[in-house]
Amino acid sequence: MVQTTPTAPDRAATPARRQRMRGVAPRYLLVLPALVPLAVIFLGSLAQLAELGLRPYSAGRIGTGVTLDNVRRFADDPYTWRVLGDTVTLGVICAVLAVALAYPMALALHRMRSAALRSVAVFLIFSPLLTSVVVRAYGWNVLLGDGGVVNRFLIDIGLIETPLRMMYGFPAVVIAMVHVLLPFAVFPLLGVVAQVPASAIAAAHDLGANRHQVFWRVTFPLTRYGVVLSLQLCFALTVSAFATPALLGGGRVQVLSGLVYTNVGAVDWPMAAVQSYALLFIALALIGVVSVATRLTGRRRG
Amino acid sequence: MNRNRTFTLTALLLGLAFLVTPLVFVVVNSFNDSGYGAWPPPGWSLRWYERLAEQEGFAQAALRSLGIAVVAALAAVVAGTAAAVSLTRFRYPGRGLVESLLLAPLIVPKVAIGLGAFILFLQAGFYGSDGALVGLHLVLLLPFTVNIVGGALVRIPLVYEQAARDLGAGPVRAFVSATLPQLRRSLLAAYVLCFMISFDEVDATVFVVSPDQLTLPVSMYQYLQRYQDPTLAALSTILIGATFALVAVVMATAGTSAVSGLHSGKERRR
Repeated sequence: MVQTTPTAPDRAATPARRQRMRGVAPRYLLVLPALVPLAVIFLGSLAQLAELGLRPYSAGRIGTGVTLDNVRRFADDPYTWRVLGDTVTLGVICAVLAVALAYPMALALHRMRSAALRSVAVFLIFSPLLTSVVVRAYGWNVLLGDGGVVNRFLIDIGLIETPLRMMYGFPAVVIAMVHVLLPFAVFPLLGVVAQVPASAIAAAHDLGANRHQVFWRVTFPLTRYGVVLSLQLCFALTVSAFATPALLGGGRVQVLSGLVYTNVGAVDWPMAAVQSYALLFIALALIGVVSVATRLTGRRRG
Repeated sequence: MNRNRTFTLTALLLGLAFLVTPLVFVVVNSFNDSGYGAWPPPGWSLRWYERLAEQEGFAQAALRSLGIAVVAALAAVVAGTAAAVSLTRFRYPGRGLVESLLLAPLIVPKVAIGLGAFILFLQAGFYGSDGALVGLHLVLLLPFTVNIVGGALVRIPLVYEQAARDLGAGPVRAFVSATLPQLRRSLLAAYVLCFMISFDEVDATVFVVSPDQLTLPVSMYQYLQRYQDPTLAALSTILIGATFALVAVVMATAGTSAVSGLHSGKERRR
């Protein structure tokens, strides 16, 4: 700090002035440009959706008033429950696979010494985001089809005799979904992995921990926040994904978002609204469960 | 080089191969003479590019998507940056709520947002307008800008701004001259990411577009449902080339940190 006495009174006045200038207004004014569209479009949409779900519906006509009929119709339909189960299963499988693959990738990226190689790798991880999910669905179609590249290769090297059925089923959807999720899983992990202090790892080694112990007792706990964030994001992205399951599931893998789309086409909008809310509650419930679970395990670990 | 390192490096290489393979086959297949993507290609041709040129809808849809993405990403970066400044620099009642609300569109399934927005726009008389699509995309993009710019803001020390204030600059000028230049890369990264997410958005957009207002990914989605020929591969190859060129330019001018800055900054704020 500069020690010139004439500025001292100014300096003393600065915090007070800053307080006055910053006041209360800017903090709220600054969030308005984001908050207004969010309140109008996002909350407005969810409110409209809730209202629609509570409207009576019969024989293709949406009535006026408030009723729980649509919720009952949803609850009574075993098919919807099966689809809901499939959606959650798909979400969990894809999120776990994506994060399990993303974690070592993030570690390797972090440990990479050459800046040039590192930026090439980052670019490659990033590259699928530059391509439409529709294009990628087409790409997987080419690869995974009965006469596709993978099957031709496996037959040529004599590993299988008849083509594996991968397209239009769970395997294709899972593979393509993990492909969509992977960049989203890597980037939050990259952030937390970079924050693990090298001194903590060195200390653990000095104290005689082997590399498994170092990983499970130092590195992993310190990055748990990023893992949870990645899992949540991947799960939310999967359960709401619509194009990828539709294009690669070929109608055989039905997810809740697909049912919503079908019902919109069939003008059963109230049902579509109820199903959308079911999806929303699933996402919120899982996020709640995961957050509570990590908080609990975190406490136990100290 | 211990086994630990070999394991992670193998995972990285496998992951990269997994990420890139479908894109490579899309590009190769766009020159495949066979309409069924037969492999190995029986011959090479440019006929899918010719077929693509005959499809009028795609060019129009591409222009619309481009316009929407340019505007929505700009709005998202401006509004998201202002919000991120408020969230990282001030503590006030309701701040946590504001933050949760800003990040909520990431968690709420896009199908719910899309269907709700469809009903909302229909009621408000905005259905079928490009403004409605920009508004929807803006909402979907805000969490990303708040995360990226917020993450960068907490890493930038306040002293420069305080120095500017002490030298007599107003709060706005101090921010613009001291902090904003250090935010440049994050802003660029946020803009590029938002642009690409908007340009590619199908899951919510498909509910909101009117039939005469298709965006590029929605019209591609509809095309792929009807036909499976490599016309889309030709279109995709052009798109891949264009976007790779764009990102190469961005990385060359802003450095790789523009891209590696894309990870979530939320954990740093805690």
